[in-house]
Amino acid sequence: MCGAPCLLVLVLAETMGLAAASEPTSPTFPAAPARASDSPSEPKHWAFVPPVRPAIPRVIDRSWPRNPIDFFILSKLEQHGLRPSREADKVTLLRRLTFDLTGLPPTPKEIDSFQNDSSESAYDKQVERLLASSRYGVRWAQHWLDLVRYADSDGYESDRIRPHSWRYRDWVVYALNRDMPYNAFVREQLAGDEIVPDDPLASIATGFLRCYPDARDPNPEMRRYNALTDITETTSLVFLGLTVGCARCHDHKYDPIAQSDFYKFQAFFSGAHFTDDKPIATPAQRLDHGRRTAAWSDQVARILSGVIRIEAAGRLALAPGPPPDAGSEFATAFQKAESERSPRDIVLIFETQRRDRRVSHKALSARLDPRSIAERSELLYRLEELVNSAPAPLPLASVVDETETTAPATYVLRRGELNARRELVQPGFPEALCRDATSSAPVIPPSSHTTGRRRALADWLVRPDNPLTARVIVNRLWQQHFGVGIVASASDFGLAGESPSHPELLDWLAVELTAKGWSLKELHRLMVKSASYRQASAGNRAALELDPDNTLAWRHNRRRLDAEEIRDALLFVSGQLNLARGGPPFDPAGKRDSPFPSSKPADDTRRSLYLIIRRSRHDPFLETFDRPDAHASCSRRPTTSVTTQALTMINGRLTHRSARALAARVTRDSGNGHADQLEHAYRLALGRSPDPAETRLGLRFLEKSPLEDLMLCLFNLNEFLCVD
Amino acid sequence: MDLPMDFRGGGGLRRPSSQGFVPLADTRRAFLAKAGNGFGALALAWILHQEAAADESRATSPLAPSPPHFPPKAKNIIYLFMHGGPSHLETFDPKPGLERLAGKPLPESFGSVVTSRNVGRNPLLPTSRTFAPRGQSGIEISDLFPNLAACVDDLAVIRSCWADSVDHARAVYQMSSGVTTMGKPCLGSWVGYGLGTENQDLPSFAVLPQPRGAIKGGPAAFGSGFLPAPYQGTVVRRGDLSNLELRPFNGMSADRQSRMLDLVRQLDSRHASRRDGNPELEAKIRNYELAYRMQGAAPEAVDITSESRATKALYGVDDPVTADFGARCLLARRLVERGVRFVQLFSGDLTGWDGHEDIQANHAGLCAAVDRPIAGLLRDLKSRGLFESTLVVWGGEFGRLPMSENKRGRDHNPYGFTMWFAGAGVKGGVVHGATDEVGLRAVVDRVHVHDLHATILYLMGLDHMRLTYTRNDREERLTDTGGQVVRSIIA
Repeated sequence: MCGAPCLLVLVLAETMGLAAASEPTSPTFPAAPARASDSPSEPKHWAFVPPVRPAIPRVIDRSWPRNPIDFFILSKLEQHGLRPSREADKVTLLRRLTFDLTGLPPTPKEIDSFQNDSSESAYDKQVERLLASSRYGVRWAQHWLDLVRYADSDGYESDRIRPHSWRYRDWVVYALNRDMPYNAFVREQLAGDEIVPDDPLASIATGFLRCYPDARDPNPEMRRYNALTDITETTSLVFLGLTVGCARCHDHKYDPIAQSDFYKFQAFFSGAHFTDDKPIATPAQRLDHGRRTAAWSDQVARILSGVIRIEAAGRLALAPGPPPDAGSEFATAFQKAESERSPRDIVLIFETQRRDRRVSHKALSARLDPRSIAERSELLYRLEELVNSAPAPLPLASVVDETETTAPATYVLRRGELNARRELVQPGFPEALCRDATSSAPVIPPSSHTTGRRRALADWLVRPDNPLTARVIVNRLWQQHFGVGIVASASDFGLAGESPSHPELLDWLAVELTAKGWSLKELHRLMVKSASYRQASAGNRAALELDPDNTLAWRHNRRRLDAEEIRDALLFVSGQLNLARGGPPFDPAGKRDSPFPSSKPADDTRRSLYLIIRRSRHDPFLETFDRPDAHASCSRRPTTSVTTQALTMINGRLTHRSARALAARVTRDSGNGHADQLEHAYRLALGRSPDPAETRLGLRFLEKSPLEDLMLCLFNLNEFLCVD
Repeated sequence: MDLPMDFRGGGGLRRPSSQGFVPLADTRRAFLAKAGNGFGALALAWILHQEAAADESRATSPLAPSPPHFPPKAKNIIYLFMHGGPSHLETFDPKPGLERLAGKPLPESFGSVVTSRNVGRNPLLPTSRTFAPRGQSGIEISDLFPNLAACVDDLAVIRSCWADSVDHARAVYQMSSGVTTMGKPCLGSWVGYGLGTENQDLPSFAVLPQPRGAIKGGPAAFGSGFLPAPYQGTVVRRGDLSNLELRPFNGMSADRQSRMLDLVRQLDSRHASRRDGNPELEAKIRNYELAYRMQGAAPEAVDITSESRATKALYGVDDPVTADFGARCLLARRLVERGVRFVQLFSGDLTGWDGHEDIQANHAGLCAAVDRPIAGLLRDLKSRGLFESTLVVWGGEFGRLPMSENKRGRDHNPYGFTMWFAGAGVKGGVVHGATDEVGLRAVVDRVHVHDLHATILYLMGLDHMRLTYTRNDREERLTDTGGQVVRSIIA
């Protein structure tokens, strides 16, 4: 943790011209020497100063740039005597673009239509088509869920399922698909209930604040404190790209974040109620639900009445008088004529009679004639059907809300220990990010039923002079499209984070985002339409030697597909993918403890976004390909290359089933001729036709091996698993 | 490099540098280009260059061997985890003081005790076991471990361990990952991260749980937390590596599979040859070769049928009482013999050593099941020359309280308990530290869980302060903010 001193601390301290950091095992944490910007003479850290739109740089080769991004990229390349790479070929481009925007490969038809379109706007049309596709939201929600450490369970030993979390997941998909402006996206997740009190959707958005792992500590105070700590850390990481977590116990070692800043930040959340089952139905939904429930109970009552009638004579003969445990309510209901009884009366009579020990099922049946027995069976069968088709309960969500205008006090805690209270603090923004001390201590007017605190925080985050919010999100988009962020440490814009490779470009994009009404799709457009994005990924000697890490973006970064893309692509290519969107997660384990037992076999092939995420039991396939474990915010997944991945790809159920399905699909579409099968399979899996050598190898292979083995082989190719 | 295959984004092994281009990659690329003649040659090329390329391949092959911080005393670890919390009072920590105070409440002078089941004021319960000095060293061990007692001169018994939680799951998390919260990497994962593995045909970290029953805290107790997935434990159940897919799902024959892999290799090589400077492509090709070999090597490693009758008898495989744990101890030896870095055995199902009702009955059964196998393991390691390179650790997540529970049982005690080390780098026949008069709290030379971890890492040649992983810009380590190596038990 932060207490661990390491070479890095020393090196950093040294490079900043400061004394070595505190003693390793020292139990106290003296004010960190690295608080550089405390000194009035030193300029503030770049990221803590609001971005200003920089001038677009001049370049020598004015023919290459397609939009402003390219001027920034090219001017740096030219300064280093480098040229950008050529544009990637059309097939590569469409495959890259389709995976990046939707998480799926392009179909052969889509590729054909792009290749046959020789108009100037051919590529732009594809960008628009993909951005308009609902698959865009499904893909980009995944990146967001990584950041917020989304899961469908609590974590820890019990790892209790969270039955309503998915509504937040669906909200993220919905918000991204309709291009909700990022400022609204931020505000609703932090304070949707305060900002739009009557909109259930906005309330669902606060599910962001409910993603913390929860140990269900027997001490409720401790449990709440742990949750608040987690929320404070994650909010700061996700929106500000700041690591405030260490300030819980001591002043930040690198950044000008004092320990009190952590608790001031936490105080924005101290009025929050953690509500697990908030009714979120609209009035219309409630009305409709009421109507359907009434109709349903009438049907149930009619059936029960029938049973009571059939059994009446038999029961009277076997045991006259009311059952022993029947109360006066029963007597009243029983005395009424059948047509006078309310559904409630009928249920009461039915249940009381079922409990009547004086009448055994066997004795009663013996007194019924066969026709009555058959009639009763029919009624009970219908009853069972009816019970199974009961109207779905009104939707609930796991949210944060407030009921009072004041919040419990927040204290600075010595070394972060719950019982070691120091001074009282009020909600406040980290001073380093504000113009002065006054603007860091907001006056927060409460609303009619809330403290207004979360709203105040949300508003501050999206203020035009907030130095970080816009920079952080444009950098995250850049990272997904280009492989590495302009700031490589996407959730650390502090002093210990990476310096931006293209600081002016970052600022230009941040300002552009706010100028374009915080539209994320506008930013996607800019990025993927740029010449920089459209470069080929092939290497070139000179550039490789000068800039092997491609920091200057002289080519496109090749990437391995991530876990969800691999699974989805296997299912999609083999024609098995179920593209149904939204709703409860599917649970392939199908355990009885799952509140989602209704998972149907077809659900097994839904997109990976909808696969249940249990914190204690990860999906083995996705985990093998580096899906994060949902315990902490993940801003960038590691991409490992290990033997278990090979084992799972050559032997696993998913690849074998998909290979069989693809073989069947190919045979169905193109008959039994090997050459045609090969051509079709290549186009489906890799988006291109095989070259003559590949055809030769493939045909020779099919002389001895079945078609499904060839399909399995295609799935195992680097070309399938990576995007150029 | 053109793929973000190192770890710099999610935290990682090293921070980005512009010096990433290692000329060695050229040599390897040349090798691979020539290796058009089958997997065998490819693997050989890789093995020849394994050491030289360790640094470079680390970025793409997380389990490649990595040099320790200083010369290690031990190369492998067998960790015997007694799940549920074994009583030190019935096994390794004789307390005549408890005898004297039998039936009385804990004297006021001990202060109050937080307990899991509110047993703080219950009468003190002396043990009904008998202790006697054993071996040359004369260390006292109870009659529950007659076989192990004969090996006492190989043990370093730490009687002053302490931990932070009275709750099983949290204590299990701490004993495996240093902290009481879920989701941190466990010891076995840290060791794999620090050292890699010597035998790429087998996993670096194997977990051998009780055949039936789960672990308190669930699989997270041996998870890799925020370390990349390759560092997680591979579960071996009933002689099967259950979470490795070693056999084709569709029952594809070996012939068919090897034809398929051959085509993959040919097509991948063609693909790679059209792409300049791409170590990740090579890493992938290599992984397929290793996967192919692991399919053969792993089942052989976990198959104990080839062991001699005498060896099996040594571990108690021939006796129904000891057969299960004996077979797993034998398996542990086979795995370390083949270069598996870390083997963790669990004794005890979900209840395990958790003797709330009747500590004697509970421990009598479990000790009988593990005593002969553990003694057999120590002897077998010695006779095969593995004792000098293998560290054996024994212990649970905490000990038991001196107070009674339900008259004959004992509640959880994280304040003082016993663990022992044996094997590589460990001084035999020594006792470190002591608990108080009744065995409630560690009082002399106290050893916290962080200290145990620091010591284990030290023996493996790793400095617990330097074995760090950057996550969300925090330098995370196994020992959190503590950790002192217990020097007195190191040979």
